[in-house]
Amino acid sequence: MQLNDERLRLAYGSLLDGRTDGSRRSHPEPEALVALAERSGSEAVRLEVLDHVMTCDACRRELDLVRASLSAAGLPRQRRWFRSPSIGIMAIAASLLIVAGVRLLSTSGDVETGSRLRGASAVSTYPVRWLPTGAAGLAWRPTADAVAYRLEVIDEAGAALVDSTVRDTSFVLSDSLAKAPRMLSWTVTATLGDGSTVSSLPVRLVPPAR
Amino acid sequence: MTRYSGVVRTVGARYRLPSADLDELTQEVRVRLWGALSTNERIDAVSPSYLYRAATTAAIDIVRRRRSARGDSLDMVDDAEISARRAPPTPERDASLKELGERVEQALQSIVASRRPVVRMYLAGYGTAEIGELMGWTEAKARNLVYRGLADLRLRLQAMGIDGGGDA
Repeated sequence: MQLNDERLRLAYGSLLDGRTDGSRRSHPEPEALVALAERSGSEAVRLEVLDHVMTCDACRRELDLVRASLSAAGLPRQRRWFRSPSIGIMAIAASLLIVAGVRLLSTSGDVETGSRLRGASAVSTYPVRWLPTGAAGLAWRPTADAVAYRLEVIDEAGAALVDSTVRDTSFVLSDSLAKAPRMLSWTVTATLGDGSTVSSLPVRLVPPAR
Repeated sequence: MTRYSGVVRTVGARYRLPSADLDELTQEVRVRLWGALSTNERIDAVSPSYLYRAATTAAIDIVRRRRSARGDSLDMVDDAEISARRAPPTPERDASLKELGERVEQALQSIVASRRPVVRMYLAGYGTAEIGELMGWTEAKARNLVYRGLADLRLRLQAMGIDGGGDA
């Protein structure tokens, strides 16, 4: 008999059926299943989690449950190119250049240029509101004709910790992320009705001193 | 919330989740929204990001609760349900098939770690579109990785003396 895909699947299925399963192995935390379902975090870690899930019937059913819940609530779409570390670093470098440029121009006494840069072409953000729980409330002004907003929270290495597309103009960043001992910054990009986008300048997340 | 419970049924059916799981999930999200928002009007107007967070934490809590209830000993987990989900015995599912399965697992352990879970998904019956969707890849990339992973697997099996022309 040919060792075709179907034969391999039957054999593999037979193996999985024979397992009472991995009570002796450690199972990924539920948050790791969420990260896998929403495609957040590093791909290497997600593949490691997936490798376990695909050999563990209980974890596979838990992943299905998580995926169903997140899909029903509107799983945020990921921007894959932004997950490339090199592009992330380039994005930060570009952002720093923009900030440096804005500062240079704003201190040059060219009032007209300053007012143009503060025009309506970018998304305006509100100061971060720190909640008693330690979570961070992020909010921005509505942009005319915006159909969606993509919120991104990145760390100093350019890794996206949050990459969510939302329709409203606020987002609560969980305390575990907001208080992470890393330098984080956030930006929001509005997608307009004609498909074009406008973004805010990156804003650093600095938790209040306790 | 109404939309959520409707969609969760549709999506849950796609994942072949039992109705009880979907009820538990919907109820968990509803309780969270009620606790925080109190009125139907506010719940109906809940923002997508808030609903998303509620759905995420609800799923996490359900998983934790189940693990806690079973003491994380999977030997006791819904054995009847697992048995029911298994394919009925056929002449194909015999001892030699199980032996071949063990050799497949052995071969899987030696292929590139980044391809292994993809091949596992494929062998477990997932299509390349769903693999791509889960990992955030294009279907073409998922298909390519499955193809290369299966080629690796076959090479390893051949090295064990299991080739395309014979059985285990």
